[in-house]
Amino acid sequence: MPINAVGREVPSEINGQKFKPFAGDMKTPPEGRRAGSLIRMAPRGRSKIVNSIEEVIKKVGLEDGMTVSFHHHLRNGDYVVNMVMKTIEKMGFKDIRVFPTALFPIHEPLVPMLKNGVIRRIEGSMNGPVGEATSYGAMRETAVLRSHSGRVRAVESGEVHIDVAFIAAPTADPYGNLNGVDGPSACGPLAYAMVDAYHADHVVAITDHIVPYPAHPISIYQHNVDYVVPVEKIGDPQGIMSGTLRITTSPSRLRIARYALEVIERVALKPGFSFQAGAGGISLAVTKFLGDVMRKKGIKASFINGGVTKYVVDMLHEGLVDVVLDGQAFDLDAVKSLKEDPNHIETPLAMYGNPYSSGTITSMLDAGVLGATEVDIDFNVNVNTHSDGLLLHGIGGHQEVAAGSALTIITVPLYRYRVPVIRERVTTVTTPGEVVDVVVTERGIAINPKRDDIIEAMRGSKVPIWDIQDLQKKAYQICGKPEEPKTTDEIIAAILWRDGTIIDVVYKVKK
Amino acid sequence: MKLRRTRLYIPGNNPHLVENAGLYNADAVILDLEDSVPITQKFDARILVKYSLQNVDFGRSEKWVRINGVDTPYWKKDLEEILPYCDVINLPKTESYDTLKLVDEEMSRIEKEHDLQPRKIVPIIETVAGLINAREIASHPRVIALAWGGEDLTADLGIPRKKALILDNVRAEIVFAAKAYKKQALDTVFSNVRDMDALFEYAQHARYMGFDGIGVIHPNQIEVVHRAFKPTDEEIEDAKRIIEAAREAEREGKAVISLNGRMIDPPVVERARKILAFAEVE
Repeated sequence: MPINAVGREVPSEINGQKFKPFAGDMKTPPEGRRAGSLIRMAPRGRSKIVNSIEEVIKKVGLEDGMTVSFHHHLRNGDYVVNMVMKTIEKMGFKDIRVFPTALFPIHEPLVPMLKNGVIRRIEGSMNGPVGEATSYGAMRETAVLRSHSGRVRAVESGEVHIDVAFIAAPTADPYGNLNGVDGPSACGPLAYAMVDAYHADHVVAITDHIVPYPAHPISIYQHNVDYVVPVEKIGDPQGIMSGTLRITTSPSRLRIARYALEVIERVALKPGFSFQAGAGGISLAVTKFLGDVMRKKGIKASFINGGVTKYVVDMLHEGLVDVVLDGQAFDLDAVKSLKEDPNHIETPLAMYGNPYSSGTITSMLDAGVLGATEVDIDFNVNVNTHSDGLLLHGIGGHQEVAAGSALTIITVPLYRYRVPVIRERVTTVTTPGEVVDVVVTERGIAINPKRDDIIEAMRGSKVPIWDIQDLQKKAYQICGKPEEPKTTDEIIAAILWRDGTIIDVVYKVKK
Repeated sequence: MKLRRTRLYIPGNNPHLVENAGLYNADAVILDLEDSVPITQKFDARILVKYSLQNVDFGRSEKWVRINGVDTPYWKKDLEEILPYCDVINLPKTESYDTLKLVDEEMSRIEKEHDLQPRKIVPIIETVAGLINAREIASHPRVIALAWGGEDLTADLGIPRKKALILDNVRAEIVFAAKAYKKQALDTVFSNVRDMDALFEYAQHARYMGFDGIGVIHPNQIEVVHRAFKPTDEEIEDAKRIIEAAREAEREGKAVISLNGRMIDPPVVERARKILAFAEVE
């Protein structure tokens, strides 16, 4: 097997499909033309309402071995994936390739379908039980994980062809115009599903909120949607929205946030700057503290890219930022703002970070703050597996934010539950060290040696600055050297870099 | 002058908290073997604290240990195990000079055995008897500061803590006793870890009562207290001018220091030094 640019041995073929080894970011140029979908025709006045999922599956002509796709805006409150897959199982289909943007613990009912042949493989992020079952070898073929925008690239390039896209739609009109800002299962944007709507052969909207034609606003337009299936409920609002997200109160996490803030302040903060942070406790703290600093210094940002939370929305409405670009809403404040504020804009995932496009939002970012499960002394980052080797998380937008942002900060504790987070070698490489600039821990920060400008900017700061090797040694000194995960040599998943090359693989974990 | 604005209490039986105790720039970290450790864990906590003192990086924080009181069977063993590795002994329920003599003898024995520099003591006044004897207690050469504990003292007085009207009188007594012997006075903890505005007010109140610091029970309180003890810009500027005038007088060999025609007494110079120390100005 070839060795790729981060020193990992990777196969050249996964599930019979050829893949190149990771050669470095932007080192593998794109080839070919964008892939298309089946050209369809809808008769004038045809009703798109179909009364059951079973009926719609018959209408789209699903066959064994086909690919069905889903989006994850409803997150851990989503009923649609289970609803559709149980119907597919009941109707006796086999060998389905499931192509979600992400799965969550609520999708555990898919685990038996991996074993009974209904699903041959999943290509998508797997958070929790489905990933765990896959780690122990439950999936017949090899899972393929892509970042949010890497998935868009895969669809646009024809690497993955979607036969049927099932789109959970918080609001739909009878003719298939969809949005996510209204209805009992409102989730905000429908950004993840847009590429599926453009490129799938058949597009089915599943909704619990039908409004008179035309729905407005419109996120996904009628000319891309073939059928609308009303159901009682598409999700549980408790699992869709996170409630009021809370800033961490942990003193060590707050210390991490303060250190990250100081790096941003010294390196990136200037009038008109742009920024992305997520919804984790540390990220929320960084966002809030950054808002405080901007207010104090009278600095206004041009845009914030999200993962949008109340803290971001508050900054927009206070006038600390001109525009919020939104691919995913985490709370109801974000949904309300997206609906009401013209400066809060829903953006397709292709625009978010697809490297094989004519330009992305993430490459416009001045600063991005990301998390990790592990970081190594080459600044490589793992967000997929735990140190025991289990595949428990998706990639999300990690790769495109890290690669695109002018300043990429990884915020992590030095260790968790006495397992070092900063280590000699990460269990899985999700994001290569070449696109990571600063690692921030509660004990201090490590700056990628190739970033002389950041080293210079941090001169005179009270933030402790370490060589990353010394941070790793400190972690080992406190926790001891971590054990290697107990795995076999069987590959259960491939981790793709955003350009579709293989950056790493995940091995089967011994029970 | 050694700043003791914050002393962070860490239960000695919680390894996770002990590990990170040095990260937050408290002026002192107190590894507690007394009230936060249940009787069944006294032995384990003592060993954990002993090894933590040797292996954990406490940064710029002074290393204190609150041992068990002399009315318990644990205090001698506590001293024996931890004295070589800490800077200050925090002594609960100190009631009299005799209590200090007892502890002093034991400490001297261990110091001699291990060839150690003499360790310091910060007694905690927690009883009415202790309060009455506070001045004598402050006079002991090992004592660097007086602290007090509100909960036990109000219990001893038989009044509910939250309604007690006498606490500022107690505070005044602690401050007088400490300052009479040029020792520091340390106020008790503020137990609400969420209300940072109230903490700031509490710490400022302590500062203007004459205290040099307060106890903290959560790392998030430290920055707020340091801010509360930071002198105002005006105070700092004033202090700088006084120190400069004192230096000038010294250079010129004058016995009397004057600033803008005003005579400056030595205690005023001393106060200016303290203000600059609190402002962390060289």
